[in-house]
Amino acid sequence: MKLEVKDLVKVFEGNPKKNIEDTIAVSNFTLTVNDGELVGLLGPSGCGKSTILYMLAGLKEVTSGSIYFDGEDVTDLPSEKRGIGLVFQNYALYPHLNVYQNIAFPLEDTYKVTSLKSKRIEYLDSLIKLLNNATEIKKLIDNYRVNNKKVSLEAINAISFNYDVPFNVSKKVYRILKKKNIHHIDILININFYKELIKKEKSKLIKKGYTIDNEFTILKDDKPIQVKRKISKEEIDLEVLQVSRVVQLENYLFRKPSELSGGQQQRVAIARALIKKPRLLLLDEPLSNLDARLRISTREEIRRIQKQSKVTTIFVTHDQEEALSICDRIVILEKGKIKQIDNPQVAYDDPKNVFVASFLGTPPLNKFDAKVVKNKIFVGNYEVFVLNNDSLDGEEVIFSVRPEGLEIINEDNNIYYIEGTIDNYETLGRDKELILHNEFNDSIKVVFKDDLEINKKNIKLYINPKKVLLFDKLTGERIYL
Amino acid sequence: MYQERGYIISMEKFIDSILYSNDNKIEFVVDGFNKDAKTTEKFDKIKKIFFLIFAYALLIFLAFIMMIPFYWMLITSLKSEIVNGQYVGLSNDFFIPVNEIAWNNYAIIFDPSRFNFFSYLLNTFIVLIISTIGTLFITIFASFAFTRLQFKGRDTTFYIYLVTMMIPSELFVASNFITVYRYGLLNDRWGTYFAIMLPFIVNVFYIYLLRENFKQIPEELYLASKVDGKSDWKYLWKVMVPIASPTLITITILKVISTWNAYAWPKTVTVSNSEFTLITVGIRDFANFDTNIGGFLFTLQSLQMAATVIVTIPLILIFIFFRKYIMSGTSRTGIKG
Amino acid sequence: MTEKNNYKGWIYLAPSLILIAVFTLYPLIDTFVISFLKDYNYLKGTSDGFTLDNYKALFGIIPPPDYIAGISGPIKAFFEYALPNTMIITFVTVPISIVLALIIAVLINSIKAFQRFFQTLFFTPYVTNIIAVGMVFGVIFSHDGLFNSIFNLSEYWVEENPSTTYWNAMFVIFLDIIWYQLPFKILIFVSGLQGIDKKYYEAAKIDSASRFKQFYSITVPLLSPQILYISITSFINGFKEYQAIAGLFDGRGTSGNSYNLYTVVYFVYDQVNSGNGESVRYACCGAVVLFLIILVFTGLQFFVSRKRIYY
Repeated sequence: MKLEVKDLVKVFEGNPKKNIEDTIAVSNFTLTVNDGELVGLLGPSGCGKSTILYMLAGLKEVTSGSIYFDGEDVTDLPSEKRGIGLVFQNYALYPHLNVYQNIAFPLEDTYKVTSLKSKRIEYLDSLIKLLNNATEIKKLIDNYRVNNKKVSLEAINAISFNYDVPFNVSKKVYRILKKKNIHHIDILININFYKELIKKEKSKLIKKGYTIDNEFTILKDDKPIQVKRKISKEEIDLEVLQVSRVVQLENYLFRKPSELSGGQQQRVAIARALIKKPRLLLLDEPLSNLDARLRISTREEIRRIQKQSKVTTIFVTHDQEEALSICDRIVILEKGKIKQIDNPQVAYDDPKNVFVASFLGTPPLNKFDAKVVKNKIFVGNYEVFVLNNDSLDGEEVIFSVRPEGLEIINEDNNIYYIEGTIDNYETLGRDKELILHNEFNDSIKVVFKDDLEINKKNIKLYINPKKVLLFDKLTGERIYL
Repeated sequence: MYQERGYIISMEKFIDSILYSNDNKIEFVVDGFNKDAKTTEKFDKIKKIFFLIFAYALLIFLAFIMMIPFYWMLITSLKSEIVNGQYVGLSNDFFIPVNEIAWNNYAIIFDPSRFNFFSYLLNTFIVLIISTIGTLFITIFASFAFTRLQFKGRDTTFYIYLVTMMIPSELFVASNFITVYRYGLLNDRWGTYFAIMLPFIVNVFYIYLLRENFKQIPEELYLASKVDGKSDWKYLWKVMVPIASPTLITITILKVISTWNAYAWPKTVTVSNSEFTLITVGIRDFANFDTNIGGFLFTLQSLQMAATVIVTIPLILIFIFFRKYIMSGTSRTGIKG
Repeated sequence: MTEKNNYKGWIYLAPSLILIAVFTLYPLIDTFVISFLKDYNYLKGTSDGFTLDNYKALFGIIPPPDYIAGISGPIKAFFEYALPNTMIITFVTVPISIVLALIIAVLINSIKAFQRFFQTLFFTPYVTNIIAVGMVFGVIFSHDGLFNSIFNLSEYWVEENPSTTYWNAMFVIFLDIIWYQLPFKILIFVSGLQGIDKKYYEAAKIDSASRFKQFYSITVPLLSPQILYISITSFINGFKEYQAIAGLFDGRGTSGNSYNLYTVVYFVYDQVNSGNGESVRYACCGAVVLFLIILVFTGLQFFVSRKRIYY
């Protein structure tokens, strides 16, 4: 689905009595998300990203602007009619329901218009189909018997997952096949019995003037009968089986949320959001409650699920690493305003303004207040850069270099340098980080790969001109070199 | 008004401070003298053992005294006051031989001419069931409105509810009696039942208790169910009520106990129609334990005690099975009934 | 949507709101009004303007209207018996039961083995029926009963007998009420004690403070919210005492048709139960007096304890 957002504004009304002023949480947010795209909303806390998400979800009212789903205006549509799935930061699983019931919850009491089918014949037919595979299923059940004392629930679960049948069918089959010494003939008797039942059922229908096709649809004058009905237990079973397979929760369906790990709870939440086949999936900081290791594997998982289900997805996070690693595009927000919308790599390499430049990248980039004299840029007395022309003569600018753009050993024979006093030395896994200060910046960060022995306190940092970014001091906008 | 609200807020905080009193933040210094460490330790140990012996002895003694009325009720109910058609009075023996146990006492109190046990029991059960269900529904609805729903005047209304909790119910007796009398509730069986129930069907403390529980349910569950297309009504019954079920069980039990033990108001309402009254009023006021023996009337205490045993047993059973709920609920309940 | 579902909230509140309005808020006003009505008769629904006579009669300043048959005894009894009895019962039973409950709670809290058992045992009387308990106490304290036989006495405690003295009867009432009131207090105190951080006692141990010192310099101050709460609720309950006496004494008093064991609430119910249309206004007066007493005491306790409570 294609999502279009136009000039979305959210104002939280103040209270004049208590001297609380109106706050503009989101201003003129415009965004187009293509079908199947995963877009990250990235920004520090309080930048309005969750507010935008809740407005898309229909849980917060829009002050002005509009939202279109595939061209349809949904701005005033209530949440449940938008066809969205929402995953909360704390997952919001129902603690009293097990995984199956949690996932099935959105489907309960939903209605659909379908052609009338004979549930009974469908049931008997899938029973026969399964019994035709009796030897295989018997093996499956015996497998569980060997490994586990609580055979029944797990075995029934496995039958359902392997053969895509509702639980009432797998339960029945399990009951027939669970006996240790069951003969082939017994199974044949069963199959014949069910075939008889189907025949009886069919003749009953024919007597009433109906016919039935191969899909068990009941036909009247060769036309299916359309009815509006509640979704059946069997249909819910199949939907839950399908979606729990996508999120790989096959073996946890009958556990309570409290018996699951954080990552599994997360996947239940995603499954619950996906079960209604939403047009738009919204994820609100889905990884922030997980520990560091799980976070990386889960975000890969989210990416996989998203690609597999091809659902258009909005992902809210304050963690740039998360956003950069899995999003097709990211939207960087500050105080309710869009600062840049781009592909993650582009945004990092080519930031449009100083906010985006300093928000993306760890360690953050080093900024110095600088002055342009003719075509030369000075930080204090250090000459740090030469421009192509004099057009910026006399301007004040922000001169910035990425941590990897400051070199301690001047391999590339850079001309310009700046000096600093070493405060600290940190190891970031493979990389090393040096923290320095000088009169222009309290915390200059330099990243380098190899071990270095530095004996001096004061060192020269050579500036790699390719890693230099220049911004207007007043507007913060990028000055392209 | 401002002042009043201040008082109520502080009362609410005060109740909270009792319910969750683990965070008493207070530091103080206890002064003492330093003794030689080893002798102190030895001395302490002996002191501790003596204290423990003393503590257990005292506890057992006090527990014994606390239990005497129960035991005496039971043993007296099995004693016989009539031997060979002669009134001999009650013995004060602590034990009775098995062959002298007067099971017959229990048969006598079930005799309708002396005590219309089944009729009172039926009244009590009807009132018990209807009023408990009514209380549960009303409590659930009110707590839901006070937590989940947003409307103008919500908090003010809640404060008014809390204020009514502070007023002694005896203040309402006369006026409520006039009300139920005037609207003709006291004229027939069902009217009387409702007259017994209605004034006590709303219990603000239960609402307070459930509201606290509802408030702990995270907002996101509500939003999630909204996204899933569930109405407020569905959300209440499918999510909030199951999650709060331990509190609802507590409320149910406390309500059942208080109805079973109700005396003053049911007595007032049934003063002219005693056949509609409840069991507790029945055993006190309408059971006939007077027995004619040789031309003299004797009040048979063994029969009295048999009746009190019958009234007490269900309570003890409830207590045994739901001890956890009753004790956890009561420690938060504050005022009885 | 963050819509204000105004009407919906009121629909959910309606059942409780209506019942509270009819059976709590309306009576609150109605009781005050009736207590000031002259010659109000609820059977007839008639009255004759406002007056202070009802209160005057209640406090014995003027005699109650003598044309009401059989009413003069009880009305006089309010000032003569009910008010002093209520005060005596409250001021005797409340302090004793609080101290006793505190001691038992500390004992329970200081043991390890059988702690839960004792906790449950001491709580059992809470769920029992006060009327039934009163009847049992009546049997234990009868002339030929257990108490007399253990202590080798031949007193009359509860019977309607000329030898039954006022203080004998009060003694049984005290015991009955204390027995019945203990469990709740013990429960609250024990759960309060269990909430006290053990580190305070450890600090005291290091300073080798005696057990008694620990009790009054750690336990009591840290338990002060519970103690305040318990004392407020038990004073309120004490002022409302009625059922214990109803359970103990099937009649009115100790001898003949005297009303000398009346309490305020007993008086209120008796006036309502009398079936006499005239007497309800005195019940209202009594209830208002009770309300004022409770209001004053609760306020006083809050006021006094404000500086002594640590929470």
